[in-house]
Amino acid sequence: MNNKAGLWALNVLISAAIIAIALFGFFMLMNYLGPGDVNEVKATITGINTGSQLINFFRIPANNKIMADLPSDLYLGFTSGAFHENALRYPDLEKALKDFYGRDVNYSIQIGRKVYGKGKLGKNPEEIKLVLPYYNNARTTIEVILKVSP
Amino acid sequence: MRLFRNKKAMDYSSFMTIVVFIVIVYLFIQLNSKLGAFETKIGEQELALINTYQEGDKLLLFVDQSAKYSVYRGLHDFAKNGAFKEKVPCGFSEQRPYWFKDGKKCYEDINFYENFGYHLNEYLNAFISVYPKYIPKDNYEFTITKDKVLGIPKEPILMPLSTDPEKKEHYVDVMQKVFNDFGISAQGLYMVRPAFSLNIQTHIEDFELLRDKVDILLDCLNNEVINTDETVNSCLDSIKSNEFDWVFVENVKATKDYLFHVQFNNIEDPYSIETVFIRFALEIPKFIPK
Repeated sequence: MNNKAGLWALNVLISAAIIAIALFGFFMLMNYLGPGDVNEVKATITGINTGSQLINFFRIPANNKIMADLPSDLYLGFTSGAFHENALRYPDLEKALKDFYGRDVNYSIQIGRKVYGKGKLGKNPEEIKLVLPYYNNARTTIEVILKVSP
Repeated sequence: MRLFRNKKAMDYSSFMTIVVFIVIVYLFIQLNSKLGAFETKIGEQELALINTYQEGDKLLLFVDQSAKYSVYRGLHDFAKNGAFKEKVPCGFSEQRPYWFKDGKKCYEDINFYENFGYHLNEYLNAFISVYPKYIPKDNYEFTITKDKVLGIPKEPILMPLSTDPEKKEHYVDVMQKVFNDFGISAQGLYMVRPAFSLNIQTHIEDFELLRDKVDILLDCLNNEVINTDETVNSCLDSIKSNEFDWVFVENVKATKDYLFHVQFNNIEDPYSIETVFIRFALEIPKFIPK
């Protein structure tokens, strides 16, 4: 290490290390400050896409009636035994969901204050909130929230 | 320590390090000034458009459901009100609108399709008035065919595109243009035409058939010298058909009114156990002796 070349080499090595640390810090800083929300945008688009699919779910028939009719009195069978021959029953809903999302679907559906469901939902279930009219009182709406973990 | 006593080597390395630091700081300033141009998220406006589209889809589903319920609820009210609109031309007897009074056939000029459309519109207005977003009232022209009810909106619904309110300052120019063109302060507008087409058989034609039957019934009741429960029921038997179940309710002596209740067998409301029936009164100056 006494020769000149060795000393030069060591100094260059030290300066290179300092420069490397500075560059590392610089890129870390730029990464923090720069636009990094592409994943967020991607996640949002995916969420919107599945939300649209869930709207379509409310338009598909179960027991020859569409799911959007759930809050109407026709479907009282859903909660407390059918009073109408066309009533949608709980197994009809579950069957429609399984046909739509596959056998392993876990879901939670909230109609007004009542919640029905099967299985445990994952951390970020697909979700849609709808406001639907109520047949027996034209001035009443019912909120329906469907969460699904396929 | 001898290592660091080589001044030339130290000068060169220090010089290189300082230059690199200066370059990095310069680079940072340059990049940071350019980052200022990216205060909005990537695709923020596009996402707002997709979100608004989804809101529009929800609104369409609500209108579809409301229209479907309104048709059935409207049919009940239309029939209960004697197939008239809200205003009844000849008044009421025992809460039943007169179809025949003072020798005048009050039912002759009824436009059943128009009057049903009135009741349908009333319900549709009530349903859509509670939707969280604004939907204009009295906005539909209806077409009622044998197996369909169509609703064509006169005016579209404009749904404003909106992103984060804090970022509105970035869209001042766009918002000004939208405001100038549409009078709405928004970053853009999504237009929805909530038309609906429902496969429902309203059987309004049965009301026209009923009108013909009442003509015959009136002739029959007026031709009798004296009416009894039997003669009234005999007249009803003469107009019996599969479309209707007739019930002669009573003859109100004080007012000479014959009250009827007619059930429509073809009209089915899947959302109610109540059947659709019409009720009306005929004023015939012949008392039924008791």
